[in-house]
Amino acid sequence: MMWKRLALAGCAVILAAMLAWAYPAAELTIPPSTLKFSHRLHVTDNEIECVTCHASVEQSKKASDRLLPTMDVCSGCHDVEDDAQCGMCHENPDEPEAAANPERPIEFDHAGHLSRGATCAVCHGDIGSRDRATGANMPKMAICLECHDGEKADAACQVCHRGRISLSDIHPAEWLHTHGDRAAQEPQWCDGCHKEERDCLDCHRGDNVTGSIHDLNYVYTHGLDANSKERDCARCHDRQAFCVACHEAENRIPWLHSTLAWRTEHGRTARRDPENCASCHETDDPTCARVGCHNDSDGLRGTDPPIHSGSAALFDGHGPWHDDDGFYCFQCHVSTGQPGQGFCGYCHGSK
Amino acid sequence: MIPDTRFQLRGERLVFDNRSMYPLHRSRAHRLRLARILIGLLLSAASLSGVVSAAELKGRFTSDLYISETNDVTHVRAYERLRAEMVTWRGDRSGALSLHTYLRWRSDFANKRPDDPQWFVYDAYVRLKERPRGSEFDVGRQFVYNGAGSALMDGLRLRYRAGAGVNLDVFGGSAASRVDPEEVRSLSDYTVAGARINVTAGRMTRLGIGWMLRRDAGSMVFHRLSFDGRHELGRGAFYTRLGLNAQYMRVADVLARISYTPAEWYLSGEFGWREPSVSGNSVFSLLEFDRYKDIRLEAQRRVGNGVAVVTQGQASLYDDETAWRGSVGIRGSIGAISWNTQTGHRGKNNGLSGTLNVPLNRYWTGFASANVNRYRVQDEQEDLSDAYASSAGLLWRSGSGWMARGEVQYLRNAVATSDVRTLIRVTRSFSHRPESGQAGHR
Repeated sequence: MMWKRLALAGCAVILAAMLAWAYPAAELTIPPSTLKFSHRLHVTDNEIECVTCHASVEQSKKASDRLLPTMDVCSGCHDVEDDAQCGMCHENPDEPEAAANPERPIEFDHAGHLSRGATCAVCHGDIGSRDRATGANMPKMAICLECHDGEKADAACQVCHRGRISLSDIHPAEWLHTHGDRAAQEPQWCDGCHKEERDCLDCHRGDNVTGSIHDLNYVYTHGLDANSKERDCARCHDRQAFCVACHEAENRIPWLHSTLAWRTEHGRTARRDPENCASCHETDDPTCARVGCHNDSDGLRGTDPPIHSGSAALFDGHGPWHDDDGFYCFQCHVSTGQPGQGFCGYCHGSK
Repeated sequence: MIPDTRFQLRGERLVFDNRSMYPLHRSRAHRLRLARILIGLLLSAASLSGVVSAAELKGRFTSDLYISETNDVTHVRAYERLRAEMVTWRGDRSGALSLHTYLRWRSDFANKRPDDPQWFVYDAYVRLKERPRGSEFDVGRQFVYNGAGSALMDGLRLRYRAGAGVNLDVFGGSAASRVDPEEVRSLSDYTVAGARINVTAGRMTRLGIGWMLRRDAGSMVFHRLSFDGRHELGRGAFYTRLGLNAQYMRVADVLARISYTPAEWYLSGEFGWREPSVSGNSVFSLLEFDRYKDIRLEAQRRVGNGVAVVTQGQASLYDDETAWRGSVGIRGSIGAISWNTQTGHRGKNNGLSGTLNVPLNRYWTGFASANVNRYRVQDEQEDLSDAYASSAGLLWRSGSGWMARGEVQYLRNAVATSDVRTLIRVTRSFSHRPESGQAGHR
C-alpha cells in the first residue's frame, strides 16, 4: 500500500515539475514575421528570380547563414528612404523590425546542393506562390529523405544533425511501448525515416530469427511479460491462434494446476487474470464445462458452481445466444427452446 | 491480429499439429480465389500502364537460411520474403496506381513439419492515390491498424485527407485465413471493419476516434471504440486514450501519458487502468474479472555525444498483489546495455542484456548481442531457471542494393543445454524506373 502511494506521489511530482518548468522546445521555431512580403507578387506575378533577393545563398554553407535580403536589396526596386512608405512592408512602421533568423539545429550547405543541380523549388516547393511565407513553409524532413534515401544521398542522421541528435532522441527508451499510439495518430511521421519498413509487418511479422523484436529465448521467458502485463500481447497476437496452439502442443500446464488447491483457487485466479487462462483454454475448450464443474446439464438454476452472476445488465435484452447456436453460453447451458424449461426458462417464464 | 501460420484445420477446429501429417482443408474454388484476385489486380495495373506516363518497380527480396542444432535435432529452415511494389503515374504523380505485395515462403529441409513448405501472403493490394484528390484507396489483402485494433484482412480501405487537418480512414473486409494463405473467407463470418478520424487542431493538438470490430466463425470476438488525444506544450507532451468495449458497452481501458524533455532529459510518466483482453465469444468474457492499474515512469538523460542513461520503472497493481519491473541501462550510438528486474506477482527475473553495432567501414558492420536471465514464471515454483542467448556476426551493405548478414547464435535454456544456430541472410533491393515518356519500359 505504501509503495502505491509513493508511486502515485512520484507521478504527481513529475507532473507538477513539467507544468511549472515548461519552456520552448529545442526544435526550430520560426517566430512570426512582422514583414508584409508576398512571394506570389514578386516571384509569380513579376517573375523575379529567387537569387535576385537571396543572392548570398549561392555561397552559403551553413543553415544558420542569414539568407534573407537586407533593405539594401529591396532598395533596388523600392524607395526605402521615403518614411511614408514604411508601412508597405512593415506591419509596425513606427518601429520597423528585421525578420528574425533563429539558430538552425541542422547542418545544410545551400551552395553544395545548388552545385549538384538542386533548384530552390525542390526543397522550398511552392513558396513562390505564397502571399505570406511562415515557418510552416520550411522544408520538412520528408523532403530531405526523398534524396537522402541511402542510395541517391547518404541517409545517416549525422549528415544533417551531426552530434545534435541520436536514436535516443527520436526513439526514447519508452518507444517500444508507445510507438503504436503515435503510429495510429500520425502514420506519416514514421514514413520520414522508415522508407524500407513499409508497415508494421516488417517488425511484427513473426519470424524472430534475429532476436530483434524478442530475444532468442523469448519462447521460454515470454510468460514474464505476459503475466506482469509488460506488453499487451493481444495487440499483435491472436490469442486463440497463437498462444493456444503452442501451449496445447507443448502441453504447458502451470504448476499450480496439478495441486489439490486448484479446485478452490482457480476461480480467484481466473477473475484476476483471465488472459492467462485464455492462453491455453481456447474458445470452445470444454474444460470449464465438464459435468461436475460448471456444466448446467440439469437445467436447474443454482445447483452448479457459477462462472458469472445472474446480473441483469449482462443478460438484458435479446442476447446473441438466441440466434447463434455456437454462442459460448452453450458450452455450459443446454438450449431447450421452450419457455419455462431449463436454460431458456431462466428468463422466459412458465410454459 | 497477425495470423500465425503453424496450424492445421481439423474439421472446424484450428489445431497446432507437429505429429503425423494430415492434409490442409482446401477447396479448389477457395484456393484459386486469391490467386484470381491477384492476377486481376496485376492485369488491371498493367493495362493502365498504357495511359500513364511512367512506372516504377521496386522492392526487396530477402533469403534466410537458418540452421540450428537443438539437443541433437538439426533444423535447416529457409525463409524467402518478397516485398514489391509497382507504381504507375501520370505527369505530376497525381492518380498514381500501385500494386503492393509482401509474400513469405518457409520450409525446413532437415526436419519437415506437416505444413512445410508453407507460404503466406501478407500484402497483396492495389492502391489508387489522389483520385479524388486527397484520397488513398486500397483493395486487396492488407494489414490494418487504427489504434482500436489491428487485423490482416482481405478487403477495402479508404483514407482521405478532408482538409483543415481532418483525416479519415475506413476499412472493411474479411479476416485473412490463418491456415490457407489463398483462401478469402466469408465476409459475414469473418468480418473485419473499422474506421478512424484524426483531427489536427492547431499545430500542437491531435485528436482521434477509432472503431473496430472483428468476427470469427460468425461470432463477435472484438468490438472496440477508442478516443485519443495528444497535445504538445513547449517541451512537454500529453497523450490520453479511452477505450470502450462496444460489445458490452463498458470502459475497457483508460490511459494517460505525459512526457517532458528539458535540456538533456527525457521524462515520462504513464497511468493506465484496464480490463483484461479476452475474445468476445469466449466464456472468459463472462467472468466478473478484476481490473488492474499500470504505472510507468521513465527517465533518460543524455550524458555525452549520442550516449544516454535510461531508467524505467513499472508497477501493475491488482487489488491485493503488485507486479514490479525496473531497468537501468546505457544507450549509445553503437550499442546499449541494461539490467532488468522483475518481482512481485506472477514472476521473478533478473537479467542483463547488451547489444553492439560497430560500423567497421563504409560497407561492413560488426554486431553482437547477449541476454542472460535468471527467472521463474510461476510464483509457486521454488527453483529459478536460467536462459542465455548470444549472437555475433557481420553485416555487409554494397551501397547498390545488396546486403548480406552472417550470424552465429548460441542459446542455453530450460530445454536446450546447447543450441547453436547459424543465420545467413541475403537481401537484394531493386528499383527499375523507365525513362519518362516510356510507360512500363526500361
